[in-house]
Amino acid sequence: MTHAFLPHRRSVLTGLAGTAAMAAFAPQAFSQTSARLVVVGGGFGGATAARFLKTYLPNASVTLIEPNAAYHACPFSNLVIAGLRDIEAQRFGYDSLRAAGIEVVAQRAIDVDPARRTVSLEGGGEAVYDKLVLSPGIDIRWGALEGYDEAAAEVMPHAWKAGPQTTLLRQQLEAMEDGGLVVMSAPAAPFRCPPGPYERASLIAHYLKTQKPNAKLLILDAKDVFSKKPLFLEAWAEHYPEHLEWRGAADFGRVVSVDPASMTLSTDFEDIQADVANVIPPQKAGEIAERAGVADETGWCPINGLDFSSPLQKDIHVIGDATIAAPMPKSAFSANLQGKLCAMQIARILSGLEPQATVLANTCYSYVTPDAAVSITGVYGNEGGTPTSKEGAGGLSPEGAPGDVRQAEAAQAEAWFQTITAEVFGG
Amino acid sequence: MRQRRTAAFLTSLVAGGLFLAACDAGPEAAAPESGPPDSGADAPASTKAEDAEGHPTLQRPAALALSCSGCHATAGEAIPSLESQTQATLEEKLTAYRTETDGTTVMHRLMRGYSEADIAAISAYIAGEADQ
Ligand SMILES: Cc1cc2nc3c(=O)[nH]c(=O)nc-3n(C[C@H](O)[C@H](O)[C@H](O)COP(=O)(O)OP(=O)(O)OC[C@H]3O[C@@H](n4cnc5c(N)ncnc54)[C@H](O)[C@@H]3O)c2cc1C
Repeated sequence: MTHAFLPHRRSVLTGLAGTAAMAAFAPQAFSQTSARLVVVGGGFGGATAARFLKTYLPNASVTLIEPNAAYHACPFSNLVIAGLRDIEAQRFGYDSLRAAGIEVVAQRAIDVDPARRTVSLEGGGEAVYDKLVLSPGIDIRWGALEGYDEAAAEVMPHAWKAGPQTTLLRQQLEAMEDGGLVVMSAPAAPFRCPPGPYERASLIAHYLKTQKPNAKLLILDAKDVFSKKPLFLEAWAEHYPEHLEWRGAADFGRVVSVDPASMTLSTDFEDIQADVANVIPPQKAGEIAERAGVADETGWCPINGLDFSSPLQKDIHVIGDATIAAPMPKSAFSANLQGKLCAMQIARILSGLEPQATVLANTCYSYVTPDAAVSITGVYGNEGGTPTSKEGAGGLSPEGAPGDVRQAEAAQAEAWFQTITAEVFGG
Repeated sequence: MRQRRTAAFLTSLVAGGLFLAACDAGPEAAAPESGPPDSGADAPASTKAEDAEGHPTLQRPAALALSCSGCHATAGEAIPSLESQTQATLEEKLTAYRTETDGTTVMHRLMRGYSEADIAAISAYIAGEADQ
């Protein structure tokens, strides 16, 4: 067998294929492709794609390139910021993927050569691929918001990649005096997790209301319209009238520059000094997408919605937040589903079949209090390679719904997180 | 050919190793050692296509069901398990979601995006009663 990861030429685990317990499926040639499949990024998209590629094509060598020994999930990290959840509950390792026969390489991919079909690794090695799946998530467009660079993020955390940034924002909120002002800057679309800033705002407001009743949160927004807006406005009016204020673009809410030294966020109208500043900055596809030549001038990656292949480079597929897949949102749900579908389509392609159109769903829950949540759903077709919303389907939780509907969705959110993280990382 | 599978199918996908066993293809494929990348074409496409065509995990019902397994585990209260549900029960429930106009759950909003044929296919697939 050939191996994707050249420097060590270690054998991928083949032993698992030894049991014929459920041989009903035995699809001979179909499962025998020895293709070298490389996935970059072990988040919701990439870890899913790797797992399902190995499932569909057990004899292929599947290599997952991810620099971090453990992944910190963003979904539910807003609960950590509000002091309602331990960061450890967000942490997932890669042992279960290894046990499934996937070679996990703990390195950063630094370049892709589509002509030679190689991925170069930070440590100096190279991985050769027949098919490459990129799921690098987002990177921050440093400097796109004046004053917001990597050093500024240590003072005014974005916490839009989970991990140390999440903990930093949590610590700052804890250390803040009662009576302080928390300012959140929310970006223009497109960005990771459209309802995420507003879930976070709700939970920070809950923290302030219960722990620092004289403090306040101000959201400065580059937009006038945002995801689940009527539901958030309803919840904020009910739960946080004294603790949360949202200012949209029409009210000069758009932040045009920040100054970490003075903790100032400036709009076209005024300079606001914050005690804690959470700057959710403009974003783009993870940098490796640019290196691979699969990002366009927008900084995001166009895809063929049938199989998530890149129209810009042969044999490269892109999934998750890095893609332009609208109306599918940049969500963990979408990244996971795209990972599964992309793996299935690659299995079809390598088996001599055409990719096939299907129907895709998305569901995102957002907490508005620690035990009440609202949801947005969507259903999409991908005929002809263009994701399109199914008319009359999807949409928001009902406005004005009784408490038990909100509580039921909070319980469902929790169940979703457990199930999806088990599907991706093993549980 | 009629394949009988249990709803544990979703679980076996989750626990990749199990399903790996299910997909056992016997002896390892004789792959060319190294050489230039060639899209893994180690068997004539036609043979592979024939085998794959008949393989339920790569067909439309399976593709439709990919949207289910991120939320529905084998055990569950807040989100019900799909385990041990017959095709008829699933189809009835999914169709009811689609037609109940005053429903408040995500499933009510989601199922409006699926045709009757898709609902039948998903139900059959998850219940393990799909005709190939
Ligand atoms: C606060 C917050 C709350 C959220 N809540 C929800 C929610 O409730 N529901 C929901 O569905 N979604 C939610 N999301 C969105 C969700 O986190 C993302 O949509 C999801 O993580 C996207 O998956 P991905 O695979 O595209 O990227 P990621 O999960 O970010 O994974 C990318 C991975 O690629 C790796 N990587 C990047 N570059 C390289 C490289 N060069 N080489 C190797 N590896 C690399 C990174 O280390 C990372 O592990 C939330 C996001 C935030 C910020």
